[in-house]
Formats: sequence, structure tokens, C-alpha cells
Amino acid sequence: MTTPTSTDTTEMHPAAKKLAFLGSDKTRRNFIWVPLVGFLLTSFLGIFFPQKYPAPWEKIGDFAIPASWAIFGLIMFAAVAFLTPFFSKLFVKPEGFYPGESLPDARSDQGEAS
Amino acid sequence: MIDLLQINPGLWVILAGIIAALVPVNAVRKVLVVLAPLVAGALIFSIYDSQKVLAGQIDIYGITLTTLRIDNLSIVWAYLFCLAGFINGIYALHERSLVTDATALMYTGAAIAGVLAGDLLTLFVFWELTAIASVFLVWRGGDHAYTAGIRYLVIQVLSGVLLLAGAVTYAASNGGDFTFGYIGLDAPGAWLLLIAMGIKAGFPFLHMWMQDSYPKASITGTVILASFTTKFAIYALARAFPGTDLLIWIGCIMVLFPIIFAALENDNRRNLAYSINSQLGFMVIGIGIGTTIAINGVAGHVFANVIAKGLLFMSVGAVMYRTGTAKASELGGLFKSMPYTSALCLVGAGSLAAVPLFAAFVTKSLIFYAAIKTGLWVPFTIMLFGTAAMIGVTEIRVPLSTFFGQDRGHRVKEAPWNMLVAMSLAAVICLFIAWPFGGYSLLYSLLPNPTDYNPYTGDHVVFQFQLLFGVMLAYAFLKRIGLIRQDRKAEVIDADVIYRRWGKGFAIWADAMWSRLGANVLRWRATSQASIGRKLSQAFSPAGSLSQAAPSGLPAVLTAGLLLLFLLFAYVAQ
Repeated sequence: MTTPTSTDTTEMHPAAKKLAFLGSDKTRRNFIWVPLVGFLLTSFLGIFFPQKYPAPWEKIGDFAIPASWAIFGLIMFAAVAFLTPFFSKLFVKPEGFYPGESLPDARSDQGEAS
Repeated sequence: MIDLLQINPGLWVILAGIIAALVPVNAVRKVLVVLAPLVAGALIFSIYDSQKVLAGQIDIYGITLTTLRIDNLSIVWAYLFCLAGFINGIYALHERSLVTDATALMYTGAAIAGVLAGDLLTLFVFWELTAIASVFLVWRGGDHAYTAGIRYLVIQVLSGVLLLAGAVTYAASNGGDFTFGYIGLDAPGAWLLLIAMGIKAGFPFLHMWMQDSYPKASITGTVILASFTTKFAIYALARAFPGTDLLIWIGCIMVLFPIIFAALENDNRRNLAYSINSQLGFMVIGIGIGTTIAINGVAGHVFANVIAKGLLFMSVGAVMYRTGTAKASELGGLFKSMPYTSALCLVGAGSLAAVPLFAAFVTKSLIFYAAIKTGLWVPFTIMLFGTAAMIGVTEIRVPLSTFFGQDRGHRVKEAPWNMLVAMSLAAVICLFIAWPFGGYSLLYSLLPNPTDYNPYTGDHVVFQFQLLFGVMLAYAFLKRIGLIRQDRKAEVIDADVIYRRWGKGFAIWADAMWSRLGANVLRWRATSQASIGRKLSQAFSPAGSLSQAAPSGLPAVLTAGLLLLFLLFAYVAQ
């Protein structure tokens, strides 16, 4: 099976052709701007829409941090990502660890499943 | 004259399943598969008029069974299961399988009948029927699913046996009353019931059957399995153990532990099975909190989860139908071939991620709100962490790796029309129940308790988006610098390694040791017998030493000595 280039639109579904840019390297490279702008914008909006019921860790004294959930999401997912390699050593085994029970690989003919 | 409205509507779906098992004509079976859940839903609608309904009473050996109870709690699950059965039926239209059609109907019917059961014995019957009917959906996955199916069946039947034992113990202490209502942990038999329900609900260390069987079932089988069993157990817990503090902490563990496993998992269907486990944790926390708003949150989140998670399973199933695999390491760039499936998958992911205007936004927040109102900040923080982590490891990763990741060169057809219709229906429901102008209020009107909660407050919308963008930013940044683990072919071991690998290894070792020990014992016994025989033969045979010429006094002395010993023994014995 040959891997097409990211901008190759031949054999694409007609409805997907207008969205071909989503598969380009440039889009992938620049995608980070979407969450970055979203992060900053919603953090800013947090000043105008403060938490009605902030958790104790969302406050510094009586001041509720306006970007608390944005920071929380960023740090917590980063923590998961950093911990994953450690757990990988504990829990990840080669395929076939349970003989005869491996899940199916991709078909080479791209036909339909029975 | 039998009043048909006294009969549990789930039984009609089971009957449709029995008929489907006898009908060889595919088209007839498909009509049954799609229409039977709708008919059951219509019957429930006609029976229930916002007042509690108790019907279908049967006396068996002095025990009164209430086979039909529709109230404000069971109605949510009953409608939901009918809806899920209908959508699943459409999704399975392409599959020409008598076994799938018949067992899917029986399984759906048993789940509907189970949540409408008014007593513990009726509950037990349908509890077991869900297990027995659904195992065929696992086995339809192929040869590699056979042993997983056996394990699934054993665990599910064990759950049923514990349920029965708990029910009998509880009823015995309750004057023989099997009514299924609030039980609480202090009641006799309650722990048996809790463990039975915990097995099906995926409590920690009782959860492994889910990740073992769901990825191995057939494509349609996984979608159907994901809809009922665990949510049926959540209903039972909500009925029997609301406000049980222990459940809050069990739920917290359930929210947390699947995160790492989902992050490591390469198979998308198994990843989603871990995601189910985490979402079940939110529901179990809600049951543990037990306030009216929390129970509303549980019921609402079950509704959103069945539809949204079903949508994700359906989209991953459609990909598997076309490519043959659900492994993230072998997929990527499929939006070019399957754009509609990609879009629908994103709706499912957004719904689970609780993005504003998507399903779980209006349901999960009810549980969060209940935790806030009761000052449970630790469970609240754990739920927030669980939401953030699952956004990254499932709701971003599954669509990204499958549809938008590195193009693996799969050029396949779009999903079959029936799959697209089923997924579109689920997507429309996901969007409708979160719609701020009438959508969520319709869902809330179906919930067990009246509520004036409004999820669309400025702070809730802003902070929910904050969480989403925070996780997305971390994901995009870490991916860019290469710190997100690459998807690769692997087997992630869970606690079931204890019996699938270590237990099996121990059994093989013990069997070998027993065989070896047995052989050694036999050899030692044979050698000993031969040695004693040889010695006796040497002494007493005609050619033996005692038969040879010896001093005449020696035999006489020996005989006298033996006689003396005998007399002494006889004397002492007296």
C-alpha cells in the first residue's frame, strides 16, 4: 500500500475535496494557533464571567482565578502525557501477549467486512 | 382476558427476538429489529401517565412478583433503551445474520424489561437474560472472540448468581418481600447485591470483562453491547443504593484509573471501552451523592452517554467495516474517504467532551453541580481531572488518529447508508438534547426530579471552553515537540492478566507438577513394593534364607520370640 501525499486529492470523496487542506502539513503545523487563541480568549472572558461556585483551589484569598479551568486542563493533560511513558513500561506488552486473541489488522484489499 | 398493557413491554421485544430466530427471511427480521423497540416505546408511552404504574403481578409459590413498574426513574432508562435499540437496529441493517438479529432483540428486550421490573426476582431473570443473549454478539466477532466470550459469560452469570443470593437474603430478612426499591448497605444481602451490580457497572477490578469483550465482538455487536449492560447496572444502583457514600469514592477510582489505560491503548474500540468505564464513574459518584439533582445528573448522563458513546462506537465500527481494523496505528487520513463519518464522529466526541451545545454539557454539569452544592470538592476535582484527561486521551485522540492523523493510504468507500442514517440520528439527538432553546429542557422534563437548573450560564459556558482549549493546547504543543506517545501495535495488560496469564500459567504449572508428582509417587510405590517383595522372597521362598539349612535352635527361638511378643500385645490390649 502506498501512502499518498498530504495534498493528493485523487480518489478523495467529493465531499472531502474542499476540506483537503485539513490533511496538509501546513494545517497540522499551524493548528496549535486554534487552541492557543481559544485559551487566551476564554481566559480573558473568565474575567467578565467569574465562576459562581469556585473550588477552594480556584481561589487566591477571595479572588477567583479567571482562567482556572484553562490552566487546570493544560496542566492535567500535560501530567497525563508525561506519566504515560512510565505506565507504558508497566502495562504495555507486545501484540500476541495473549495468544490467539489479537485484534484484527487492516485488510490489504480494503473490501467490506462480512 | 389478558390486558396487554399489564405486560412488561420489554417482553414484546424478547418475543420479537424469538420470532426473528425462527424466521430465515432477512427482510422480515430487519423489520422486527427496527420496529420492535419502537413499539415497546409506544407501549410504555401509552401505559405511563406521569403516575407510578405497578402492574403484571404474578403469584408464584406465595411470592408476589411485580413484573412491571414504570415510575419517574425507570421511565428514563426505558425510553432510552427503546431509542438505542431502534438506532442500533438501523445500524445493523447491512448485516445478514440471524444470530445477531435475534440476540440483539432479546438483549434489548431483556434490558428494557429489566429496568421496568418491580421486584428483585424479575430483575434477576432479565439480568441473566441480558448476559446470555449478549454473549452471542461477542462470539459473532470471530474465532479470536471465543475465549473472551466464555470469560464474559462466566463473569456475567456470576453477577446474576450474586444478585439472586443477595435478593434471597434480603427478602428473607424482609418478610419474604422481593420488592426492588431502596436497599442501602446495612440491609442483609446488600453487599452481595452491590457486588453483583458492581460487576456489571464496571467497578474497579470487576471491570475487565468490558475491555476484554467489547473490542472482540462483531462491529454491530460492540455498538449494541455498549448501550445496555453497564447502564442497566447503573439503573439498579440508582434504585438500590442512592446516597451511599462509598459509591462516591468507588466512582472517583472509576473516573481515574481508565485514563492511563486509554492513553496507552492502540485499539480504538478498547479505548472507548475505557472511556465508558470513566463515564460510568461520574454516574456512580452521582448515585453516591444521591441528592435529587445528582440523581437527575445520573439519569441525564446515562442518556447522553448511551447516545454519544454509541455514536463514537458506530463511527469506529464504520471505519472497521471498511478497513478491517480499529487500531489507531494503522489508521489516519480517513476524512478524505469518509467525510460524513468523520463529521459524525466529531459530534460524538464533542458530546462526550461536554462542549457547549453538545450532549454531555447539559448532563455532566448536573453531577458537578450536585458535588459543588454538597461541598464535595475532592470528588469534584477528580471529575474535572477525569473530564480533562478523557478529552485528551479519547475525545481528541480517537477522531484525530483515525480521520485526521497521518494518511495511511486507505482509500475506502464511505460508510454504508444505514450506518450513516443511524449515526446521523444519534448526532441529531446529541445536538438536540443540548440545544439551549427547548432542547435540554425537554430532556430535563424527562428526568426523575423536577429541576430549574440552567446549564447555559455565562460562567459555565466560558469555563467549559477553557477546559477544552487548555487540553487542546497541551495536546497540540506536546504533539508538536514529540512528547505525545506514538500509537503503536501493542497489548495493554489490565488486571485481567491475573487470570488470563498468571492464573492460566499457574494452572498449567500445577497440572504439570501434579502429573510429574503423580508419576514419581507411582514409581516410588512400584519400587518399594518390588523391594519388599524381593526381600520377602529372599527370606521365605523355598530358595530363601529361612528355608536353607540353619541351626535347628534358631527357628525355635524365633518362633518362641514371636509367640512371646504376640502374648504381650494380647495382654496389654486386654
